[in-house]
Amino acid sequence: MTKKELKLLAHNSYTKGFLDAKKVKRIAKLLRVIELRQYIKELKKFEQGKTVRIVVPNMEMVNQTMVNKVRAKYPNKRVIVDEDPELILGVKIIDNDLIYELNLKNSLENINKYMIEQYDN
Amino acid sequence: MITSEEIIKELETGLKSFSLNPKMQNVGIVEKNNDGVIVASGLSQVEMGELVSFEDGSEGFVLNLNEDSVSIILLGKGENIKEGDTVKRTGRLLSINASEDLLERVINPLGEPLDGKAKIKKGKDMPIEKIAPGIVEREPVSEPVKTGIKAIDAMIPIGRGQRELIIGDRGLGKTAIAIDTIINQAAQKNLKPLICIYVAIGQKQSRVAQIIDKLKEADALKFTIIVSSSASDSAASQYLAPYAGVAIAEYFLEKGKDVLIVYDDLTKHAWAYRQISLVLKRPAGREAYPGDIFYLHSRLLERAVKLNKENGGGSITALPIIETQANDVSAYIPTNVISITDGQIYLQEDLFHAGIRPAISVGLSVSRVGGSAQTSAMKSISGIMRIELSQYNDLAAFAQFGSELDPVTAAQLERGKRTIEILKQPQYQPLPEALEYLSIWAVSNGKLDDIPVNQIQKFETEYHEYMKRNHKKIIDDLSKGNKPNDDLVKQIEKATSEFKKTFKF
Repeated sequence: MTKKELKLLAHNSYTKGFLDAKKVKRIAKLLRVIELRQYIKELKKFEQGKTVRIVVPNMEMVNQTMVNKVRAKYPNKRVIVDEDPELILGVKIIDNDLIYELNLKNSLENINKYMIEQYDN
Repeated sequence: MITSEEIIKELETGLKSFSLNPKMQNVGIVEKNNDGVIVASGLSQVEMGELVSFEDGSEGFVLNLNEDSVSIILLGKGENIKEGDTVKRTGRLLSINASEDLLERVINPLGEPLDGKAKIKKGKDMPIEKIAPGIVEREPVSEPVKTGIKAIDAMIPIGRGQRELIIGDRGLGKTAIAIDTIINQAAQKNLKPLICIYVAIGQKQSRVAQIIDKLKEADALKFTIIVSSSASDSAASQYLAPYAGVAIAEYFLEKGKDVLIVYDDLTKHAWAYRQISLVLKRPAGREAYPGDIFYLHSRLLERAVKLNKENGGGSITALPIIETQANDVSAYIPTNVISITDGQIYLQEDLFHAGIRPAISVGLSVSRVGGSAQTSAMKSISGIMRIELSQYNDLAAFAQFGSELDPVTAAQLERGKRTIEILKQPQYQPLPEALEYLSIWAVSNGKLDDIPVNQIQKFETEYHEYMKRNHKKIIDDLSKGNKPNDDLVKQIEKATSEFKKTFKF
């Protein structure tokens, strides 16, 4: 099976926008190990594309209004909230390959990078 | 000495231009790392040719945009990049730091010094890839680039803004012509100074070191920049080298300066691009080169330009070098570059072995636009010489079959032999225009007809010395480049006759 066919298979493993367990099981049984590996990879990619992650420094900061706002922005995607204390303050939203940085950690990193670029030469 | 106020002011201006606004990043995941080519998924918004950075700090640039992945060529070694690593867009296209600080320096295509000297000061970031200036910004070539090589300055003149190909087999003196041209700029006083950039692509490091030594010896390094990507460097680095060179040239062009850039050589550049293309799995065409191999060189050489006064009036003259195999100019890359350039200097092996050096084949070499840039002095004598030389070549072929020749033909043959002899010139010894003129004038006016052929070079050396010593005014007048008036011609004739009386052979 080609990569393209496996990609199509992964795409068709969804029913009404959700991964269909029955379909997946049926497909997985018929695939060889090497194909199964690629199929899982493609499924992961699809899942990543269908998920929006909100990363906050502290879970206590999260309230339902905020999550609802993000959900409204991405109506066809699953919203997951994660914790990362390294952010210090603010939030990070990961939408597949797009990352929106609105946190202190990123700002400090940017200042540091800028200073090195401007004044270290 | 920078004052404390200046330091604080600089910091403040820096901070003003720095934005703390939220930032959106576009990232990707490394899927494969094969032969210096990274395949990454994600990066859905990345642009062609954009610079991307990896977790370990190394950088690469995007050369392929596929349906769900991008291919990235690494600029460094990137040994620490592994599957699953994150790769980020930088939003920048590949550029090189250009400034006057680069003069007398040897750098790699990324602008990093290779000469062990201090770090190069921050100048202006010049894009490596840029669309060449359009028709409106250009003007025809009108000023000469004096190479100091008699055969070229007289018969294949090069103008500022021209692209003149130097083509021939290996070891025939292609680089020597380019280096002589750079060396000759040290002696130019009447023309606008020319900044020289020598781009070494896929060459041995020892060879580049030799060239640097030669330029240093001739005091020509002070106005020269060397961009080197040697044979041991990655194909990506070799691919970038000529673009980096021309980006630096454009920095000086923006300032209205004249630049000469030598690409040594574009055959190896094409090889490097072929290697990259094959690794990127692009469809291979003739001689396994990719389909856009013509565009690779045409977009580079189109950046050679003579700008009009409204756009600063600067120029970039390009001297690309192509190495042929067994004198085959009809191979893929040579024909491509021949069709892109404004003429070619063709070096032939049989001439080289016959002792004619530089081994320029006058019949096959041509300068399509340089004629209008030639000084009127040189123009006034080169025409006669060119005709005599072509007549000689025709007659010499026939003379091989017959033993008896009429006096006119015999005289033409003798003149031709002397013309060829006078065009011989040792390496790294470019001549000022006045002396070139005197040599060509002497042979074209029959002043050498009574000198044995094997004494011509001795005659020329002593004649030049004599004229420099005793007739400085004639030299000065000829250096202006104007067509000599009758009075000056009489003076030259008188001086030449005087010298001939003293010349012993």
